Amino acid sequence: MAYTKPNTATSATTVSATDVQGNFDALKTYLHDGISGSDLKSSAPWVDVQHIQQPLVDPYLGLQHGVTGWQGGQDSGGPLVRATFTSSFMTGAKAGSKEWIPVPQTAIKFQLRQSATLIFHYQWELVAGPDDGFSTGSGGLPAEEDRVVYIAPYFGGVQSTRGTNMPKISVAAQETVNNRGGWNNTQKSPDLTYERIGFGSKDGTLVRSLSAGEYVVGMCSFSEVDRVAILNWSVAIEAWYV
Amino acid sequence: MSRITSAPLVPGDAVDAADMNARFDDYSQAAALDESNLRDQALDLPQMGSNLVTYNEEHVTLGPGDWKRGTLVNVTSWAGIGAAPKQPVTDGTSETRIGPIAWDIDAGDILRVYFDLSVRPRYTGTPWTASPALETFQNTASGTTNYTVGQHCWIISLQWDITNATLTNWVEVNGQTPFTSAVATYTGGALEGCRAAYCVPAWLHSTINSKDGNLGSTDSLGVKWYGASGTFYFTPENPGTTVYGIRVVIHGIYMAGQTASENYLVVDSAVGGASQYLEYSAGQLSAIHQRMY
Repeated sequence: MAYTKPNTATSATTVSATDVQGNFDALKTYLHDGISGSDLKSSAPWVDVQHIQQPLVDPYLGLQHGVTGWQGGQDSGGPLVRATFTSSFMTGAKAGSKEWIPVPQTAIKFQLRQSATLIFHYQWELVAGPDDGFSTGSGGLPAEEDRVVYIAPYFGGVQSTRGTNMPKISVAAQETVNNRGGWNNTQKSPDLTYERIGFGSKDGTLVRSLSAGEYVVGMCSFSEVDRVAILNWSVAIEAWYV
Repeated sequence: MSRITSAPLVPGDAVDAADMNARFDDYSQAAALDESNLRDQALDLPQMGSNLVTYNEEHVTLGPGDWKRGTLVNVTSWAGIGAAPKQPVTDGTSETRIGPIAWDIDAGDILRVYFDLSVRPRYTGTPWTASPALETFQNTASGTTNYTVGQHCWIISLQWDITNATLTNWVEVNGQTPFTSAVATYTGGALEGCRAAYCVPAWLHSTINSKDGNLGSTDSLGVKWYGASGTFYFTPENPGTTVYGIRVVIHGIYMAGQTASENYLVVDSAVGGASQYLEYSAGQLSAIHQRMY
């Protein structure tokens, strides 16, 4: 059925932004899937196969691209199957640095062909430490029981994700505390069981409005804990063309 | 050749009602849309499909926004009887929220909300010993040991304003309990009503080396810094709902409670006060309004 504007402007009457936006919203809905066959000019065929965008599947990243945008992602495949890691030895925390580093395997690169809304979902489960090395205050490191590993999404253009200046979204960083207490010399194991202090299971979602271009989104970390094993993880994107 | 022949608007043009109506009516004529309208100069290819359409998107930083914790905000636990006040997340001065907006969430639409926040529950002393949730158990030394079964926690949940853009009429989002139900002599909310809530332990209290159902020693730990997160999805029936604002609130401290048929979190009036508080540093709140079909 042909489009009918929901709001009609009247002469000498102030038009409201709500009415105009309502007309635009209805038009957007119509153009996306409200068009019926009877609305189309039929005297001469004009839609050919080359006008239909071919779907694209990226099996390595687990992504598919079609007329609505990008969808898909990847995961660790189960506990320890593709476990990844982070470490204070790489972030330089023990030397007083606050350097963020990528979490291996979690990046997704994609190209938007027009403006889109990006929704990046991420999840991880990790064990942090135990780390009982360095005394309090060494190299600016917090006390053993206050050390944490931050994991956050990062997002940027392809070039900006290289080098050490990570485009981290630091406000979205989520912490998991070190297995404080260090090593138990009697039991030869972490002093606290992970059942008690938690496995650091976290999740989050990053939302951005983007224009056409090539982007990278993934996970990065700043760790004050010497060894952090990320046992399970998953990342996925929805990028809906607007 | 395109049927839409109206010249584009340029700065300085006067737009009257007739002109505006004509521009929308350009799309209203049946059996005439062609490649110029729908392909070559149109909105590109998404209109050929029928899937999610994103109408609106908003995201804000929650709290002071300093991951290095140079600035923190504290929420003091409720020490009174009755419903715990909902304390909105701020940057220390102003609420950090989404709004004012005016999103019409109609039937067939979906509102998706995501939030995360870095928090640290703090306490001094042993507040659980005053709680009615403290129980006495047999221990492995043939004596008894006191141990809390309160599962004390803070709640981080979502509110929205669906009244108007003044943002003075905040209520819990659809399906989220306001934690005002009477449960025996307590006040709280049912777990099945926690549709947009995240639970943060107030402290960790555990037993070690228990044997044959008898308690070993007990141990308490601070929770330390903690990444909390939550989601909310809303798909209304007719009529739809207009959403003017969305915010995150923090309240507590709650303990486990129950009726014969329902599990609850209820205010523990025996704990709370200035010595038990929740710190937060940074987080994000995102909302997306989409049409599903």
